[in-house]
Amino acid sequence: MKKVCNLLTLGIVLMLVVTGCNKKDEVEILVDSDPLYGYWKKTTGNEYLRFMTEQEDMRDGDYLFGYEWNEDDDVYESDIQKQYHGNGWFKYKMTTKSKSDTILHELHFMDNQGATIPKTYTIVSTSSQSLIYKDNLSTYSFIKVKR
Amino acid sequence: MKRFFKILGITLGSLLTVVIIAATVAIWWVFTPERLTPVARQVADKFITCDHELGNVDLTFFSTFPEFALRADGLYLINPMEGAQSDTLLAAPKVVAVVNVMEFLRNQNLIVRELSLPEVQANIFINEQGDNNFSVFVSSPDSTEEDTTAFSLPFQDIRVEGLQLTAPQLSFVDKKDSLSAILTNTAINGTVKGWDDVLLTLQSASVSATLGDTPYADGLQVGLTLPAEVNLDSMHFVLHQAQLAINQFELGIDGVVDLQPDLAVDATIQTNNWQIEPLLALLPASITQSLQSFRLKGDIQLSAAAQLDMATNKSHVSIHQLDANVWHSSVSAKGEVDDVLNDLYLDMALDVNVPIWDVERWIPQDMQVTGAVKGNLAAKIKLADLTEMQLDKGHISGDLMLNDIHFQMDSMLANLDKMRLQFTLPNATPSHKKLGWLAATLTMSPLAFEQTGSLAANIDESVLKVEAGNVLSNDPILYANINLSSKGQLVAKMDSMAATMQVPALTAYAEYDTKDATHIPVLKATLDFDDLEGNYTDWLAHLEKSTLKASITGGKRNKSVPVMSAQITTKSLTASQGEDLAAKTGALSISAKARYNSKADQILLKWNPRLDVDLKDGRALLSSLPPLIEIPQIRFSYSNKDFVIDTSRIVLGNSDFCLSGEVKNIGKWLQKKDTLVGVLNFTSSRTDVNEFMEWFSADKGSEETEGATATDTTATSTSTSTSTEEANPFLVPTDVDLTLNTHIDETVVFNQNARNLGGRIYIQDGKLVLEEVGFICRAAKLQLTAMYRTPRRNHLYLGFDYHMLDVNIQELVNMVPDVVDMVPMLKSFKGDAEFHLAAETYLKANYEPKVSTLRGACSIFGKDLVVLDSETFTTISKLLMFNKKTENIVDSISAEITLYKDEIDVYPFCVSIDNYMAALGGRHNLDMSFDYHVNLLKPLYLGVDVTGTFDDLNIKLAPCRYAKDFRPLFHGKVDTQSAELRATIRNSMRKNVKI
Repeated sequence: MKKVCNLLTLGIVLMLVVTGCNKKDEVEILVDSDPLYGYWKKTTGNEYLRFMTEQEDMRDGDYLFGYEWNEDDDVYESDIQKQYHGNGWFKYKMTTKSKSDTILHELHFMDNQGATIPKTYTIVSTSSQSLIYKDNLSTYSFIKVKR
Repeated sequence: MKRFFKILGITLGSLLTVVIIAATVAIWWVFTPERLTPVARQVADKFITCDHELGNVDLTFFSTFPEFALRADGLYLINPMEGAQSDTLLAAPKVVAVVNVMEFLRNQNLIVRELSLPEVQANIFINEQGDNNFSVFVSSPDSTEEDTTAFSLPFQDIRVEGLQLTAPQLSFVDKKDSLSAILTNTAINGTVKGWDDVLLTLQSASVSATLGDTPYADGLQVGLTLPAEVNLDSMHFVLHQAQLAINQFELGIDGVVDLQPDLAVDATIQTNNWQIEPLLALLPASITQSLQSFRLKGDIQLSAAAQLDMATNKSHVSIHQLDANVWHSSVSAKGEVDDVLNDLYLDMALDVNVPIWDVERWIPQDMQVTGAVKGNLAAKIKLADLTEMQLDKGHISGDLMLNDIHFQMDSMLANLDKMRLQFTLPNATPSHKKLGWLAATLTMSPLAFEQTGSLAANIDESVLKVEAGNVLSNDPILYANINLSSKGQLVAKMDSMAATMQVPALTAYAEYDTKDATHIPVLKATLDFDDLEGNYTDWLAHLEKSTLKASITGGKRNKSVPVMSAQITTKSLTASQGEDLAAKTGALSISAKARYNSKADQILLKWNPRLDVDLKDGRALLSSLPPLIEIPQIRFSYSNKDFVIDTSRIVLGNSDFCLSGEVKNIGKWLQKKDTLVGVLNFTSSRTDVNEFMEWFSADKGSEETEGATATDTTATSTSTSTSTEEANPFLVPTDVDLTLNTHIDETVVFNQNARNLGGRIYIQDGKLVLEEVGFICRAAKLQLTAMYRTPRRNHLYLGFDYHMLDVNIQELVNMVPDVVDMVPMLKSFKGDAEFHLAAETYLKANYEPKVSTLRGACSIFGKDLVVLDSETFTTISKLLMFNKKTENIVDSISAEITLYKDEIDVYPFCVSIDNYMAALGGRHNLDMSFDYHVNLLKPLYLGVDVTGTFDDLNIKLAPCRYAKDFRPLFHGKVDTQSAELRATIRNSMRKNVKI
C-alpha cells in the first residue's frame, strides 16, 4: 500500500515537474540590423551579400532588403535587377528569443514572383569585419568588404 | 474595038500633049520665076510678119507631076529675140508647095495641098514673158485695117493642107516653162483639112529635152502621130488618139494640150507593155533617185488620165489601171497621183501578189521571212514619205493573205501555213495615245514557233491584234500592244518546263527603250485561259478557268528600278511534286507586287513585296505527313508595312487550327528602325497532340545519342568551361512586341482530354513569356506561366510558375513523373491533391544553370489520400495492429519544398493514420545526397536521421526534432514557426492562381 502511495506521489510530483518544466512561451524580439549593413564577401569564393540600409523603399514592415550574387557563377552586381525585387533579392530581419540566440530571417524573391523562399539562420557571430551564421546543416562565413 | 482604042488613045494622047504643052507654056512662058517670085515674095510679105527671105519661086509640073507646085529656092525666117538660141526661126533650103491650080483658077484660093520643106532647121523660142518667135504668120488678112499697099493678093485665101518637113535639127526653147528640146533628124508630116482636123506625124531619130535643170530626155527615139484640133492663136490643141513612141515605149494620148499662157495638159494615156529597167533609165534622176534602192525589174502597163497645168504648177494623174510585174511580184493599181512633177502624192489601191523576198527592203536586216503575200493595199501618201519610210505621214491599209510563211530572226523560228493580215497605218482607234502608228489583225492558221535551244510553242488557229507606235521614227522607245486569242490550245515548252493552255487569251502592252538599256521595259500582260496544264521537272500543275496578270515597269522617279506585280485568280489549282506533295485548291486569288531597291541587303527590303492571298477549299498531301492537310480558307495580305491574316483555317488529322491577326512594321523592323508589333490569335476546337507527336517524332531518341557522349565524359567535362564561349543561345530580340493568344477547346494528349487550353505567348521588352497557359483535364486544372529572358549572352533567365488544382495524384504522377523525384512517397499515394511549383534560374550560354541563382518552391496539398496499395496496407495494418475499422486513407498531407541554390529543403510535414503519426523533413542536395529526419510521434516518440544517398543510406537514432511542430512532448503548444514558414510558401504560390 505504501509502495503504491509512494509511487503515486512520485508520479504526481514528476508530472508536475515535467509540466512545470515546460518552457514558457518565448517572445520574439526584433534585433537591430545595423551590424549587417554593407557588403560582405564569403570567405571562400566570390559570393557577395549586401544588406541595405534603412531607406524608405528598402523597408517592408520589419524587413529590410538586401541582395546577393556569386561572381564565380558569372553573376555580377550589375545583373541584379534594380527595378523590382527579383532573383538575388531578399528581405531580412533579425529576431531573438534569448540573448544568446539571434535568428536571421531571410525571404528570398524570384523574378517571376512565383514564390518567396524562406531561409532561417542562427547568427553565430558578427562584428564590423566578420559575419558567421548557420542553419541546421551548414555554417556560412563572410568578411566585410568595401565596394 | 481596035479603032475605038485607037481613037481613045489618040484622044488622050492629044489631051496629054495639050496639057503638057499648056503646062510647059504656063511654066516657061506664063508663070515664070520672074513673074512668080515677086508675087510670092509679096504674098510672103503679107503673111509673114518677121524678116524673111524667099528665094526664086517657080512653078513645077513635071517634077511634081501630076500636080503643079510652087518651088522656092529657100525660105528663111529671121525673128531675133533676146535670149533665143538663134535669130533664125526657120531655114528651109527649099520649099515646095503643091498647089490646087483649079481652085486657084476658079476661086482664086491658093490651096497648098502639100508644103514640103526638106532639110529644115528651125529654132523655136519662147521667152520668160511667154512671147514666142514663131508667131510670124498672119492667119487671114486683117480686114479692119485699110490696106494701103498697091499689091493685092492674087488669091482670096491661102490654106496649107499638108506639110512635109525634114529637119536635121529642130530646136525648141521655152524660157517661161524652163523647157528646151532638140530634135535631130526629124521628119514631120502634117495634114490640115481644117484647123479642126490636123494630123501631125513626127519621127525623130534623137530627142533631148530638159525641164529646168533636169534632163528628161537624152537621145530618145521619138515617134509621134498626132491627130488634133489646132488653134495656133491660142496654142490650144485637142488630140484625138495621138500616139507617142519613145524608144520602145508607146503612149497613146487623147486630150487637150494648151501651150499658152502656160503648158496645160488634160489627157488620157494608154501605154503598151513597158519594161521597167529601160524605163527607169529614161526617167530623170530626180524621179529615179528615190527608187534607187529598189531592185526593180519587170514590166508595167498603164492606163491613166493626166492633168498638168504649169501655170498653177498642178499636175494630176488618174490611173485607171496600172499593171506591173516586178521580179516575181505582180501589182495592179488604180488611183490618183497628184503633183506628179514635184512632190508626188499617191492615192492608190493595189492588188498585190508578192513573194516576200521581193520586199526585203522593208524587212529588218536581221530578220529573214519567206512566203507569199496576196491581197490588196490602199495607200494615200507621198512617194517621198513612202520611200523614206515615213509611213505615219500617209494612210496605208491592207488586207493580205500570207501563205507558207517561214520567219527567222536570231535564234527564233516560226512557221505558218496561212495568215490573213489586215492593217491600217495610222491606227484610227488607238487604245493608247502612243499606239497610233499601226493597227494590225493577224488571223493565223496553226503557228509553230521555236527559239532554238530553249523555247518551242505551237498554237492552234488564233487571232493576233497588234497596235504599235512608230517603229521607224527617231523615238527610241518602242510601243506595242498585242491581243492574242485562240479557240484552240497553246502548247509551249522551254527547257524542263512545258505548258498546255486551252482557249488562251493574252493581252499585253509593252514599252522598250532601245537607247537606254538601264531603263526597265514596261510590260503589262493579262492571260486568260480555260485550262492550263504545266510541268517543271517533277512539278505538275493544273489550273482551271484562270486569269494571270503581270506587269513590270520602271519606277516613276528612277526608271532603272523595277516595279513588278502579278496576280492570279483561278477557279481551282491542282499541283503535285513527284511523290512528295499533292495539293488542290478551290478558288484561289493571289496578288503580288514588288519594287526593287538595290541599296537594301535583306531580301524583303530589296523587293518590298506586297502579297494578297485568298484561298478556299485547299487540300494538300505531304509524303512526310500522313494525314491530308485541309485548308478550308486562308486569306491574308503581306507588305513590309503590315502582315494581316484575316482568316486561316487548317484541318490536320483530328486537329484543326485557326490563325488570325496582324503584324506591323516589318520593313522598319528589318531596317532596325522600329519595333515589330503584332497580335496573332490562334484558336482550335480540337488538337490531337498524340497525332503530332507521332508525325513529328525525331528519327533517333535522346538515349541513342547519349550513349555516344557518355563514353567521352572526360572530353565533355573539360570542354564545358570553354563551351559557353562557343555556344550560340537564342537571344530574345528587344525590338519585337509580338503576342500570340491561344485557345484550344479540347486537346488530346496521351490518354488525357484537356479542355479550355489557352493562354498568351508573347515577346515583349526582350522577354519570351508563356502567360497563364492553362487547361482542364481529368488529372487536374492546370496553369503555367513561363518566361525566358536574355539580358546577357552568358546570363539567360528561365523561370516558370506551374499550378495544378483538383489533382488526381495517380494521374499527376503519370503526367509529371519528375515530381516523384522530389517527393518520392507520392508514388504510394492516390487521391486528390493540389500542386504548385515555381522555379527559376539563370543560365549560361550553353544553358547550364547557374546554381547560385536557382530558386524554387513546391507545395503539395492532398486530402483523402489512399496510402499504399491494399495488400501492403493489410500487411502493415496487421504488423502495426491497426484497428480493424481503420481505413486506408490519410486525412490530409501537406508538403512544402523549397529550392535555394543547391539546397532542396523539405519542410517538415506530418502524416497520421490510425493511431500512428509520423513527421518528415530535411534537405535534399542536387547531388542526390540527403539529410532527412523522420519522427514517429504516435504512439511513441522516436526519431531517426537518414543521411547519405539512396545507395548508401545511413540511419541513426536521433532526438525527435519535429515533436514541437506537430505533437509537442508533454502537451506543449505546437511551435507554429515551421507551419508559418510553410504557409508563407504556400500562400505566396497560390496568389498567382487564376484557374
